[in-house]
Amino acid sequence: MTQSIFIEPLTRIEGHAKLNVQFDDNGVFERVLFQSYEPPRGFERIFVGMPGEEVPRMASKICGICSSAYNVVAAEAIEKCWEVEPPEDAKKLRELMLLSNLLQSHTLHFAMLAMPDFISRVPSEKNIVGLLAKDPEVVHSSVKLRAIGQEITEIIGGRRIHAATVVPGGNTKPLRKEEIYKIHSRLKEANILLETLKDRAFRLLESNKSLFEGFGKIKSGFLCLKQKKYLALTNDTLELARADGRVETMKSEFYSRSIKEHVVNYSFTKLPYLDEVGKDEIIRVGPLARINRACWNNPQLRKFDEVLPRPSQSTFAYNIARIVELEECLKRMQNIIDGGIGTHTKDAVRPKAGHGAGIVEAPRGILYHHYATDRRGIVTEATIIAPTTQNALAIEKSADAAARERLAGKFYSEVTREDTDSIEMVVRAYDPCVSCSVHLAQIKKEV
Amino acid sequence: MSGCSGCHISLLDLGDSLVDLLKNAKLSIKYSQILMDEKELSQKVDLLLVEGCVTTAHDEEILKTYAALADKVAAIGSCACFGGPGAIANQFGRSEVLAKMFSDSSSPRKIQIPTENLPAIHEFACSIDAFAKVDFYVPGCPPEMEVLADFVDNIVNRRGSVGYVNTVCDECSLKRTGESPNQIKRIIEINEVDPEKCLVEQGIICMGKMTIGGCGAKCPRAYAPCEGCRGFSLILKEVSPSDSPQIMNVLTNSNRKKNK
Repeated sequence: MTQSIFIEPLTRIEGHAKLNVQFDDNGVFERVLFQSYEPPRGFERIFVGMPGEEVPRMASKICGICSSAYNVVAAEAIEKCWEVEPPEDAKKLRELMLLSNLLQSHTLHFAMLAMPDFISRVPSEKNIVGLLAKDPEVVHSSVKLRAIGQEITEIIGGRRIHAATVVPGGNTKPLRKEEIYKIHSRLKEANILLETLKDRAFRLLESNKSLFEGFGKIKSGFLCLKQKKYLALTNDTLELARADGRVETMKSEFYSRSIKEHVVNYSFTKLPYLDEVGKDEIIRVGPLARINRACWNNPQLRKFDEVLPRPSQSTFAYNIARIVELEECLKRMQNIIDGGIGTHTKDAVRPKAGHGAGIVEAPRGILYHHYATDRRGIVTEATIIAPTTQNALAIEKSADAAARERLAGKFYSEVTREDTDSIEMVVRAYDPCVSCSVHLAQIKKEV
Repeated sequence: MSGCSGCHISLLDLGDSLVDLLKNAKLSIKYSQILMDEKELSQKVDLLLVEGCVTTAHDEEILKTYAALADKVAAIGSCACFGGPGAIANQFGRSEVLAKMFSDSSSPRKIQIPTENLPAIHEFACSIDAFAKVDFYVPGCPPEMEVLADFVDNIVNRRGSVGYVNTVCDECSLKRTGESPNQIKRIIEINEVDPEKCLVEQGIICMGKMTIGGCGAKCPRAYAPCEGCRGFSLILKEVSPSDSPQIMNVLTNSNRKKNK
């Protein structure tokens, strides 16, 4: 009989999931399964019958952490259905929202979710309170940095979480002069606060080299939006860097045709794969995928290259990739603000029958929405592919690799809490968002 | 429970003030899946904050066990209070909706809801008070940071909680003149929303009048209609139809137009 150790619930991640560490008859480690036990909430069905303009707000409720990414991508997809474009000023606001969302999500992960692993071996100390005792500066800096991200989201979106202003055709609220000035001054503060995080990230890297280089490492391909001279969270071209080094570019339409899904009986998260690539090659998305394809002029990126030469296959590199991205994120926000934002943020648009897809880089990777509407603009079909869904297989395989290394020569009965905690760290590197991950389905209206 | 974690994030938005509370040991967190490493709650606590709605047998079991360990239970957010977005799919037959989501590309007709070491899915997603006695309701999707700050402050200083008396409309800064619009417009039909004027008077359906206040009317202040995330204000007090004459007028006006 197979015996299992369940690491349940996985803590310091978003949503409900567990690891099932399986052992054979003799008590020797066999494999790890990543099980999400939070069922889907049926959003794809909820959208069907809803007017297109309601979708961005409703979609944001899929995730409380990357809600702005859902706002923006849903509006973009509905606009494609109706063949309309938002005004330039609205595009700028939306990009700022994506960036401020990334700012809050990455800082939350680094200080409150990931860093506690590195300060103690005692489970009851591995949290924000423990970190506060050991390194108050990093807690204070990241709390303030997060607050800046959320404040900018509120200025643009009306609310910090589940923003309200994004509708097909633009953003309902233009920015006032004093609001732009406020963002400007907050960005200045943010740059100073970020110094602490950069320092800690690279110090972690130096003092845990073997962990970063090898633990939980897998070989995979990487998928991200084609990066520009800056951190591009929107683009209509994707880049797929295969595990063997080949790089393919593809238009976002290709993505929807190519993505297939595979149901496993042990998890509510389905495992997607690209038809052309096949089920065997793992594809990863998110900060590391973007960093691996980045061509930014960024000192942090050069530092990253020195220790973890790109393309890096290291799983823990995700943690450093987030910090490198943060610097680029602040730069890009500054650029947008410096370029000037006008007040023409919304146009009246006319709905029509059609279908369309939106694609953005959410903090955790590629987020894809596809809708079809009827001539009144009522949704008839909805598909959502979330970042963590695409990473689910990679998470499982990384945890498996980590367990294989950690549990080598150990029997079922000898596994300690320290062992399971170290395996759990690998999952955390991906910053999984399980509530999002259980969405991958095409729901059509039945006639 | 099942949700988007937005309420957790909103609580974290308290930022420095939350950190201060933790530092001064005025508040100590015993269990939080998203913040701490404890795998279960195994001791008595003063207050249990619950986020999300109940969707599986596992949710139900955890809720019942943990509520029994808590002196008081608070439902944080609209999912915990009323079911929230997670409960919308109930109306379409939840099990049917979910079954459709588990079709495999290789054999689309074969449908299997995963079961191996997974909890049974409830036919109805519902609010937490179906399974536990709730002492405080803090609605909102998510409750605004300011709302949670008030709540935490009241709890820490043992003042109990304060009920809501306003509607979102009462807290809105947009100007109302009492005029009724000629027709209902979809927000996409409008070039620019008038930043001075009540949304309903511009013809946009806004739920502010019928929604429990406390949020500071952030959505209408950003020229986006209230979506009623904080719950129906009739729970608060009896509102007669004459309390929202404008919406009624709009409805009758547009009906009249159609009839012509």
